[in-house]
Amino acid sequence: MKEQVRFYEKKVRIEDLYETIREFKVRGFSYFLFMTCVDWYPRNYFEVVYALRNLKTGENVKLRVKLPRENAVLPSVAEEFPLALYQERELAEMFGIRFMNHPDGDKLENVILEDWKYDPPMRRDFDTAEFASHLFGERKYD
Amino acid sequence: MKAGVLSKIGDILGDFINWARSNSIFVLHYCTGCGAVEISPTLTSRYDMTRFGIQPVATPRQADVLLITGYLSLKTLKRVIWAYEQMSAPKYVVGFGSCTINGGHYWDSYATINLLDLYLPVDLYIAGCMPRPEAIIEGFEVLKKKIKSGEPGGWIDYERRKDWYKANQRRLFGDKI
Repeated sequence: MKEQVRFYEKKVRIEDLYETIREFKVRGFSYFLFMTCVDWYPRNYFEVVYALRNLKTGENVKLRVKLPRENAVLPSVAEEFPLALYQERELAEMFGIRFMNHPDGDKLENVILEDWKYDPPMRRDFDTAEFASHLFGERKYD
Repeated sequence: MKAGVLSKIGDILGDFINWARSNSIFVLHYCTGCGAVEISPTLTSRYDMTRFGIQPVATPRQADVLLITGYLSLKTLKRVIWAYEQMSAPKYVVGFGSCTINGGHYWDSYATINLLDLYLPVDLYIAGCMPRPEAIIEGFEVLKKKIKSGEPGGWIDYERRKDWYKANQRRLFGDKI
């Protein structure tokens, strides 16, 4: 049991997100593990998850913030945790979430998807099979 | 009379050049996917592909064969096309594994292409996921026979139908290719 990794969960509202993360940083959760996004497509909202770790005590905390799928806007935490810089950019191009006050600017170029001119591909309503067969073609066998 | 002799000498010389080419294949192994894993045992002492005259080189300008080892994402495909266009004229493309044939595991991925022969002229496909070193050597034997027989390689097709290939490439990359 001692070796087990445990996460304490906390649900945050979008308005309080930046303050909460800063508070946790002050309290010793100074290590930014990751951030990711869950697309709850039928229920029509995103859930962005921030995972922080306290290196002294070994505690982990998971901050979950709900946001609407259309017009998803979040405050950028890259000022506090520079590690979030590229993870935010990844979420921006994979899910189409906009990050306010991002150090790289509001209009971000693609990092992972080069010259991507289609919809954000990790959203649940993006049909990858249809997209691939339309753009890349299929082998026809007789 | 004299012209006949000359053309005969030319034929013999051409055959000799093809034979020499087929026995010293310089391979640019551009490791795109998981296929690079199977190249190492083929190269090293267990299967040792240098005894068949196949040797890896580091730069496209010296290479005869471009190995596409596995799936190609959109970003990699662009670089592969650049590498292919840098290679000098007798050049061949070998597609490895099912990913280059029909998409393989990644048939429904938004990031990887399904059909390599839309964008580059493929001379030889080696089936498998991934092909074993035996299959790779067998495939190279087929390629050698093709070079030895003087059959036109894919690069001639690429030059002849450049518009078609370029149109396919532009469909993915716009004007950046």
